[in-house]
Amino acid sequence: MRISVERERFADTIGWVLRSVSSRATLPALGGVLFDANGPQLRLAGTDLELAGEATIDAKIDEKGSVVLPGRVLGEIARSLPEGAVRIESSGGQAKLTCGAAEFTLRALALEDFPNLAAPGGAPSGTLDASVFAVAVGQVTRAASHDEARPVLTGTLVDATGDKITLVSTDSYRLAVREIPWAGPSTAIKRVIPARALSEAARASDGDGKIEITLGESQASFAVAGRRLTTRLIEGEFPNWNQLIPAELPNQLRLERESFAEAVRRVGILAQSGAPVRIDLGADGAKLGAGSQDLGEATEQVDGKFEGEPLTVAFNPAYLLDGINAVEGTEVTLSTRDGLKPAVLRAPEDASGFLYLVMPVRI
Amino acid sequence: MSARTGNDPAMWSRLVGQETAVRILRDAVASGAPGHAYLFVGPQGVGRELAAMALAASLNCPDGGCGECDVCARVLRRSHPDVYTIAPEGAQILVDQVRAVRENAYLSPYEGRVKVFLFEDAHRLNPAASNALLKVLEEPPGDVVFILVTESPEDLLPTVVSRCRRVDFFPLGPAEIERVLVTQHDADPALASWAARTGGDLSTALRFVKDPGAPDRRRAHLDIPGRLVRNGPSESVRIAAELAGEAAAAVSALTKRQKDELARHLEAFGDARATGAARKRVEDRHKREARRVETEVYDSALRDVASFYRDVLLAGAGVPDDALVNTEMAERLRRAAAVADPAWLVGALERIEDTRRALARNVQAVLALEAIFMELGTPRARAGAR
Repeated sequence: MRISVERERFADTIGWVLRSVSSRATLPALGGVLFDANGPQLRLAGTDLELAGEATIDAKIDEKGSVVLPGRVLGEIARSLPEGAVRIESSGGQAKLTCGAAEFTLRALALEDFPNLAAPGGAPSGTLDASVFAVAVGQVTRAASHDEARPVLTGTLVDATGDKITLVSTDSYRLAVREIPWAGPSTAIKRVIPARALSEAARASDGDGKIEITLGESQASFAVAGRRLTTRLIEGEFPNWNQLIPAELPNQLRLERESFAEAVRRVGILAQSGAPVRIDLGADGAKLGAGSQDLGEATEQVDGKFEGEPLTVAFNPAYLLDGINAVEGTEVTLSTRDGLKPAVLRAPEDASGFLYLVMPVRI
Repeated sequence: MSARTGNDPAMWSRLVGQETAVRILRDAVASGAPGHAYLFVGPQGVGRELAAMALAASLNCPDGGCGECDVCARVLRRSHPDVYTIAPEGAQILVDQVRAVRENAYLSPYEGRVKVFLFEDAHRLNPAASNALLKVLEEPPGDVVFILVTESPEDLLPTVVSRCRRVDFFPLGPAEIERVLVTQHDADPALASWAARTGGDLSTALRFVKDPGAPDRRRAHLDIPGRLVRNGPSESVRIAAELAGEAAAAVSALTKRQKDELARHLEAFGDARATGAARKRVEDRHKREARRVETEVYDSALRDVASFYRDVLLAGAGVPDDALVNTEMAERLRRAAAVADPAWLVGALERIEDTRRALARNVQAVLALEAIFMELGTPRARAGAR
């Protein structure tokens, strides 16, 4: 293989591909980045066997070929290269990388041990604006579980129909749902995707462009701006989340979102070792309180508009804050029925298609 | 499917002398519902892991285990992303290793159809790891096959064993080992025949045919009984020292390869703190390998010496030359048999067996060797090998 590429593009792309490269695997080839110069462009790829990142970039290809080079070293080299084109030449188990007056000789890793990057079969399921997708992923994946005892909850349900795509995560204490209108597949597809893979997919673009989503039988892939992230799916039945959302939420409090978040953060300082933040909902807004006999008390009043019967509910402050921060816009509504039923956070008038449900803490 | 692979997938034909196991596994594959968990029971070196790879390949290869395609090749090289090998880290298989398996088990396959998890020395699963594995075995995902390989199933949790289909593997006879060496490893027929008779199991015999120094070392080992007769018990110290030297040479050859492997590993993954655990895994495995290589040198010396005494015993009983292991020295064996005391020979064989077992545990190897050779070389014993 003999190629030359533009330095900045090369460094950027290597940096992104390396996000998919394992630091822990025991098969050396998995610590490598694949250079594939057999097509019209240079394809770079890395995988940790759960997900795979591939990127194609423009390159002057003087001689076709492929080689796997050690990822970590390559990443450091790419970040520190001087001005100039990057030339890479591989032959006989090693590769020479030159840029300006700098020259590196690297031993290649076993190409035959580098895993094939399976791609989901079939046509793309649909496309979204990359920026919309990135926001949605950020809103939803925060509610995914980190407990591997229930693997399906560590993922995000992606439910694609002809007119909308719905992302859902829950760790059974809270649930985040985001709906986005799109032109989707004629038959509905449901897949559970590792939350980490969705986050990586969201990072693939700098916000511009369209992201093409393909939901296959065993893999899903996300392609944007010459980059493609492919991931394995989580097997198992995702809980029926629709039935968790209460039909009636008679008590509604509308608050300025940023002030609410800051108050929860402040009062939450005294909600230690799992203690909740209490909220008294009343005509003039919310009165937050937290504390214990050992530690002391914190309270703060947040003004807002309330409809319904006054009541007190309590929440895990971290879960509550995650929800408030996930809502878009300047205002948020907290809707609830009583102190034991789940409460719902969303933007007023529900314009954004986002909903965050959080279980109260019994007090 | 091609005509050739349709009825006789090549992956299975590599297995010699395990017709029952092969039939059970091939039927299971053919049924389309291969079962979630298997217990492969049998001694080392009889093809348990090859059978596991054949099963993995036949479940993932488009031609049902042709043995030639990229999928089969990578399964055999242990680099297929859907085929995982779990080996003891140190003395045990740890719960973290099983947790990683569990996480993987619930993900769709990377590129194949079925994920295969091969547990080597499954009896080394520690209690926490066994319980974690049990949870997955109770609710296995549909596209997973667990293969637990062991020589001592009684050391596994009964609840784990009861969730596995047991497949037994049997020791290979010398003729079968010889056939494998010649047909699958291109061994020289004379060398193969010798290695098959003296190796005892396939992996040892294979090592003999691949190691050019092996025949010379074996001749030196077979000379030990004679040296003890000629020079008396004091010779035992020299013999033990020579064997220690032989072991050191074998270990240092291995260490060179290991250093290279570790260097490659660090190059690929870096030496940062995050990769420390992976590095330690490699180093632990290297230590185990070194220990195994060292023990194998002593064990092979003792096996060779034992084969000499056994031949003397058999020659004394009047068996024909071609029934002896060391046919090439039949005349010497018969001369020894003429003056040997069969009861002593039986006792000597038992003592050698004891020492081999002791060495497999953690005794001071050189001391144990000095002791056994001292005993075999004491004057009242010499009659055994004159």
